[in-house]
Amino acid sequence: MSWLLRPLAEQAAALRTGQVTSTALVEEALGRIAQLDGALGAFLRVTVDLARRQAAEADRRLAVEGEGAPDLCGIPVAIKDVLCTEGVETTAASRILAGFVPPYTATAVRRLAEAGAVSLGKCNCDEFAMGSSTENSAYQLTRNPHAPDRVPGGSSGGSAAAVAAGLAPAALGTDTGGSIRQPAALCGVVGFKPTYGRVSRYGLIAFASSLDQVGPFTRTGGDAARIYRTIAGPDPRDATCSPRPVEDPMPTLELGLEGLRLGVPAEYVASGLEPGVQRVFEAACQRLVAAGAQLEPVSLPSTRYALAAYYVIAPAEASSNLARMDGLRFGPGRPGAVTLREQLEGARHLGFGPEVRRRIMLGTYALSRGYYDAYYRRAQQVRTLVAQDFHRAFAGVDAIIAPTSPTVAFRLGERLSDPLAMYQSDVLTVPFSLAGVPAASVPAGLADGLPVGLQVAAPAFADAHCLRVARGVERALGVAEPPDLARRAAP
Amino acid sequence: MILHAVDELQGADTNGIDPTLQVGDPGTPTRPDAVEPCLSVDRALAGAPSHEAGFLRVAAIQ
Repeated sequence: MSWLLRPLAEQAAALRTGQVTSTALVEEALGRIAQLDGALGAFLRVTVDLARRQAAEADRRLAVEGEGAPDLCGIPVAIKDVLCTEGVETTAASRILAGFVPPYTATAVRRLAEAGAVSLGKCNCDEFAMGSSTENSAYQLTRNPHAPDRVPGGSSGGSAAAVAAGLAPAALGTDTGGSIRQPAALCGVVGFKPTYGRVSRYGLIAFASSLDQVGPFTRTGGDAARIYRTIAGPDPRDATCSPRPVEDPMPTLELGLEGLRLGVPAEYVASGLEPGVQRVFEAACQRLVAAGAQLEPVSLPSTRYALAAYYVIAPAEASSNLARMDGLRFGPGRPGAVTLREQLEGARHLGFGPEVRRRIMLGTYALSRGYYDAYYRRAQQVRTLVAQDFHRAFAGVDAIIAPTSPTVAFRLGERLSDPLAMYQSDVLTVPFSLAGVPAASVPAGLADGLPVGLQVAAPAFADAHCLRVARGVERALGVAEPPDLARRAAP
Repeated sequence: MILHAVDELQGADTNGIDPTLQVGDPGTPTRPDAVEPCLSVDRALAGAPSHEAGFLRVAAIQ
């Protein structure tokens, strides 16, 4: 089996005994990308030379530091293209940023690099992370490694597909309303959205600043904890990044589920789930009980308004954030424009895709005088109600579990012409985002051969606890098998 | 169509509920107010489609 399909701890141990080198891991990854990614489309660009240089450097560091080297030293990783990488084109999958080479690196990416991780390249996503299928990328489709006629989810679909197909053992994604958890669920891998403010957003091309959070995709819960503890923590370059010290998730990771009270929100399982998803979730619940967890119903009544609140707040923030995309300072701009107005309008007209335009218009409308109170202010009040629901629920349980997505991966093109159907993909992930709490998606099983994810959420800043519960769920349900495509590929 | 969908919000009882103005830790952490090197003009302009003499060059403002 490919090294890239094994847990990070195994790869790290083999790197230290000399059983494998970082250069060999990276060549394996580059070989698998060459073999599989033409059909999958997970990567927008593969930084071959940079990866080889970083791998050689990691091998030197491992030789010098040995056991003292950080546990990610020499491990290949993939990066969602909304995270800036100095010297490497970063487009957020948008035409308006075509050719943009950032002069600085995002903090989360820099922390991985400082730990010796090797960046393989930049992963496809929905344009500016707006979408739930990665079909809004201006550049290419990404296919689900479990079923090539289906979406990988989104917006971090390229990162999820890369890990699922074993092109990289780990990837960074970002989650605004479910953009890590939903694609993780649809691709059958682990995805973790930390507490809002736990990972710096410096160098992350902003979508909705009060919701965006960087987090990992991995094959296992333990791997997610390893990436998380490397990227989390205070950053003077992001004022919304919490100054609290990070609790290391590793010491408590294997404590299991025995005696834990897990809340199951009645509103999330009552209706709207595909029968296959419902079946897998119920079977998973039984196994969690067998593993010693106690399931208790909880109520999150305001979550019925959460999706509507999210689709006011996120576009409102996006309309403001994207105002900076003027085509004057970076990107292709609007060559040949005679007036400044033509230049600005032309750059934005040529540069933004239909979903981004839709959200800018929606957000601008919601913030406009006369509508602000009815939409934006009310949505922010509903956000308070949603957060209060979670606060009450967490007073009685140790964590909340729910399905991650109401459906399995849908077919490419199926929801593209119906934005409301696409938005429904986020109905089970958005409430946790509004509340700012940490939430993971862990593979729960297959429905008709397609992965179903189980979401685990914990109170704000209880990220280590959230990862412990996610790992406990994973132990109870078993680590998901990679898709056939990943197993069949040459190592 | 989307506005109609988000009109659901009008059904929520928000009487006396404060809007969420900040998520996570209250307050804003500060850092030492020290002078540090910043992006050079050349690097800041490196991605601009058009620039001249250290400035962005734009079409006529009319």
